[in-house]
Amino acid sequence: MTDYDRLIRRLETIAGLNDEDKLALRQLPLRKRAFDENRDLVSQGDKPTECCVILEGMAARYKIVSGGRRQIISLHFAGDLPDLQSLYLDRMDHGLFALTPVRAAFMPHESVRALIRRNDRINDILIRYALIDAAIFRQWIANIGRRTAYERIAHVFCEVYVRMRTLTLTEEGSLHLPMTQAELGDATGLSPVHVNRVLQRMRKDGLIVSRGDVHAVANWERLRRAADFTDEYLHLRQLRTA
Amino acid sequence: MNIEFQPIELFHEQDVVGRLVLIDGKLAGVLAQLSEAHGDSAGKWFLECGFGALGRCDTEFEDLEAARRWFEQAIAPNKG
Repeated sequence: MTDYDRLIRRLETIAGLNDEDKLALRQLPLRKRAFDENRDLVSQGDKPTECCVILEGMAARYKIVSGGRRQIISLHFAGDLPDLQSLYLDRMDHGLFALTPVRAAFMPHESVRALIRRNDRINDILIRYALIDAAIFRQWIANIGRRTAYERIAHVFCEVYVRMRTLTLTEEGSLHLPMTQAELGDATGLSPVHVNRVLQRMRKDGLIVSRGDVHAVANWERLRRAADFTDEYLHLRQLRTA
Repeated sequence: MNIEFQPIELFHEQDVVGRLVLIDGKLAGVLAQLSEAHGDSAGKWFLECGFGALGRCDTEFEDLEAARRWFEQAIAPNKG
């Protein structure tokens, strides 16, 4: 699979693309870069002139609050465009960092703008992309604000599983989530101590199996029920699960 | 201010060793000692909940003395 295929596959989870659209996407210049784990791809305060596409690995958007505490606000996989908003919002109001080693490609804003002016379908897909992003944030607010620790973590697992399955980035039943307990805590507003306790209960309840910081789904139906998870907010096309 | 740690058993699956934190006789928080299930953090103390200004702390304390220092600082009058 080429780097362009990763972007195309991701956009096709939103809407169909014809040959002309795909050809146009393949003409976007990609400046590729590799990032070590924990490095920023884009930092808060930056004024990017390019949008990035994740090619391999996992990245997360985050905000730092007083005292240096970090809130992870979204998770991103191959094909995702985690700083698409920089096309129209000059200054980054949050950061994007590599949860695992990440390979990413940067596309000049000018090239993306030229493409969406020429191609209405791609323009519509990118607008839908941004709207779905917002739907995911709404879900995370409800998750962190009102769910129990157990439900929150189960919900993050369900979302990652469904999104990665749709992108064929993981096998049926397998969830590759290489997040430390501190990172899972940052994503769910919990302390590492609470995350550790919840993971142990989830393993005991037969929902997941873990090897170190990598977790797998042991019983999807029970995990889904524990999280009260439905995938409608992801607005995915070609769902292979649930 | 008199800070007192009163032993109590906790209703947890593993972290059962606890302390009620009393400040001048009033319940101010609950500490749990982390069990072996917490790997590198085993043996440290964790503030499960705190009342009033002691609401939120994700810090693990090396020992009860460190916890005491944290409480003293947290309840010290604001020097603004």
